[in-house]
Amino acid sequence: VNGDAHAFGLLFTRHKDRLWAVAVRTLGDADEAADALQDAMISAFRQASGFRGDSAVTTWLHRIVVNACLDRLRRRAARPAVTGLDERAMDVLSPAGLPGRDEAASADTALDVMTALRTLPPDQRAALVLVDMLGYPVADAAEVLGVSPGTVKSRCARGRARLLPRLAHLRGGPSPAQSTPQVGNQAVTGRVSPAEGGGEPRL
Amino acid sequence: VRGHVDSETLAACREGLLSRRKARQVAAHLAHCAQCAGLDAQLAELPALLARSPAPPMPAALTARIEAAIAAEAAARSKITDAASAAARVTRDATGATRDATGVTRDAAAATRRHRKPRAPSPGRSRVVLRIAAAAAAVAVIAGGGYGLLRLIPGSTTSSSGTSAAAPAPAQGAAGSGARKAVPGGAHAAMSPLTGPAGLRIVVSGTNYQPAQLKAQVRATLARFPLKAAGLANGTPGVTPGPWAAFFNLRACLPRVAGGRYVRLVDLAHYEGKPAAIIVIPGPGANEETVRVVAPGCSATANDQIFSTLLPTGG
Repeated sequence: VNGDAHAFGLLFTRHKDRLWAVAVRTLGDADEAADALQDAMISAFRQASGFRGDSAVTTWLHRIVVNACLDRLRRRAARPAVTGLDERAMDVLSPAGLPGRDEAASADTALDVMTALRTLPPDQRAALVLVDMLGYPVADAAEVLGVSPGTVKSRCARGRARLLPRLAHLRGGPSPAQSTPQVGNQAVTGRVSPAEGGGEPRL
Repeated sequence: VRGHVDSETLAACREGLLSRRKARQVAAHLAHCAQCAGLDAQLAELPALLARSPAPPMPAALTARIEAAIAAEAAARSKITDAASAAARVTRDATGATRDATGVTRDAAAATRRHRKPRAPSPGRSRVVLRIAAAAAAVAVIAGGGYGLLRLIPGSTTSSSGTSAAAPAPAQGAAGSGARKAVPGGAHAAMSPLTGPAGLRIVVSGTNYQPAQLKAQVRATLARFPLKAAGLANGTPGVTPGPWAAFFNLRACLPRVAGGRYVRLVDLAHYEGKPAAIIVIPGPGANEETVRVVAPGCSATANDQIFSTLLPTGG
């Protein structure tokens, strides 16, 4: 038990920020994310006998957290919807420690992104959080989610299509290099508004 | 391609999910349709846009809370095998909590039925029940010590998700169904230390206690983690990789250190830079409390005490 507890402590310390990011992004609610994460960690600690610091454990840990979040999302879906984000959520969800002048804009962006994400079905949301927001390779996200890479791609694609009309107004600003698929990447001139191009997402 | 391409098709195309023929058609359309090409460009930017919302680090108070919860779990299971016999020995403590817990041990199945949340259907039901029975036994032992530790276990796993079988909560009703949920005040409520109305507080304050400042530091910790906890508003700086991890014998240690008395606070922290548990016990006098500092070796058979002092409470 001693060895397990110690190893688990190290494991938790090493991954806690990533796991927290996954939980808070997936759930869009700090309190729920905290509860989900705590449940997941206790569950993981109970299930495990003998930890190794290898990638299989990392994936497993992520999977437990993601599943705890998805469970909550599905349960929440069965209850009347919670609309909007309160200030408290904003405090937690908005990025900390960014350069001053971008702070407000970034907070707005983060809030818009979270609000938009909450309109997605849980499966699409989880895939987008892992792949687009946190930069996991598709293969890793597939392992965490327990589905094929093709399914991850498909969920990401459908999720992005749904998000597009809600986030089109946020374009611009610094674009960090991001490995995006290069299919059909023609040079583009005029941009169209989402209303013209995308239509309303079906919810 | 008839008419324009919808965004879902474009997104699928970007992921290489379309047939080669269909992808060629889309590409051909994009080449001469500014509207769809614009939509496609927006899609291309979306992942970068999502990546620009940086993730906040885990709040220190939550880190401490989860570490304490795992510590409690480790403590609860460290001697889980003799749980039942130890529980049977419990007779003196007459609190409702203890009655509840020993009842669970005597009839785990009935207790499970009684306390089980109706909304937790689970495929591996029999396994879950076994797990709950085992957890209940551990809780019984802890409560049997009469230290209010009972609160710790349900408090640490309150309203668990259905996935994890992490919601044994045999005494959840007795514990007021989770103090931390009931505290108003949003995020801070979620960061509450593990506690209950009359419960022991096991906290991870992040304090590095020093001999000269011990009393002031203990007072500060007690003030920071009030019994009816409002939360760890100021976070917990300086929490190192799980000071709790060393204290897997805490359950066995506490009865010995406290000599059967109620324990007011346990802070899994540091003393002069080394992992130590700071344990606060009321008494022996009316207006004083005993502060004991023990090292991780503290167990049922060895105090491993580093330091002890009296703290006047002075009204």
